[in-house]
Amino acid sequence: MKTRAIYIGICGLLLGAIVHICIIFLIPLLGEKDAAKRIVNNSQTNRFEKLTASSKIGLSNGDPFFQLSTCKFDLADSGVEVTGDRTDLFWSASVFSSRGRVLYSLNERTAIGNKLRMIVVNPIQMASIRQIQPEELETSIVVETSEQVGFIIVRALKRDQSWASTVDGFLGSLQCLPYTGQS
Amino acid sequence: MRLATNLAIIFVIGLLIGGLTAQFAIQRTFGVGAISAGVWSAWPFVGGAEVDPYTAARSTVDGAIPLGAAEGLAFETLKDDQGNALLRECNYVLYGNTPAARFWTLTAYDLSGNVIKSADGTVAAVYSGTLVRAPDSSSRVTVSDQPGSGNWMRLEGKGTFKFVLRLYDTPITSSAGLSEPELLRLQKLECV
Repeated sequence: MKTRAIYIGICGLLLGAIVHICIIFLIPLLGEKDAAKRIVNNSQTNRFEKLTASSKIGLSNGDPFFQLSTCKFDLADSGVEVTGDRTDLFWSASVFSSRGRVLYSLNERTAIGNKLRMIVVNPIQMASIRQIQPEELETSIVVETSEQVGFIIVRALKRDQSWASTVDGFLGSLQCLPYTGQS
Repeated sequence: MRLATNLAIIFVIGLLIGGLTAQFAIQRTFGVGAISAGVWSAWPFVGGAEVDPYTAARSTVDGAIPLGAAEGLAFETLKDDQGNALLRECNYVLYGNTPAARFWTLTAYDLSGNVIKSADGTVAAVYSGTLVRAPDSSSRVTVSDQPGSGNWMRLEGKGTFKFVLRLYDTPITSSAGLSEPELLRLQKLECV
């Protein structure tokens, strides 16, 4: 009787360990609340969209002092160029893979001349723009990634309500266009 | 028959232990992949390429968009300095210095991750740029449902909540500075 109880206990623990590992590994695959998954599934390619609780993407855990805008990209046919107007605001931008990993991030002080100008390409497109040597390469931050689909998030600091129009102006000026290097 | 009972017991034990430990591993505010400073914990590698499975699972459940290393780092806590769970019916004071950063924000969230708002729509959040500071540049924020002197964050309602302290453009995200940073102390005052 006693050995049987120990036997059952050990088997239960082993099964518990397997269940634990399965749950941990399955959550990122099956989870629906995942921010990256929601953005990739619910937004259009090459278009900036403001992230608000009422938008299709929805958003939780955001910092109330920040306004976010996101743009999905697909590097299958061309790279993507992200630009924004020069502004006095604090802003930061991150390039994410479709699984929500940060590939690159910068803020307005690490950007060239405080201006947002970023080009995201895959290694093949990188080789081709190296050959063309376009002029904008000198004033852009070039991010090379082997991920095909991903998204960019730009955050702008809204200290208080009086900054709302400046923030809206900056986020409205953002562009996210296909980029080939040939103008 | 006996075999079936044995298998059933094994199954129940396995599912219970596996499920509960998995939930515990994800929900607790410390542990795998975290760095901690006092009561605060942060996951600096949450957005990184080499993220561990626990941090990945946690960020999925959380539903948040992680901050990149050049953007900042978010610390959170569910407890005060004495180890008690944070309760919205209590008053708190946060004081002290924060690591080098361009600015920081402090926000109160309920446990499902929504920013706490009071009845008149005030958001329970403060921005370091608008705080009154002591001569040694330390700051002191009182958290209460009644207005107070100095820096005040309005917090109403009942139940547990968490504080998130986000440091923006801070050098501590580079691994060189990951030794324990000094963050705001969090003390409970009276409860109503």
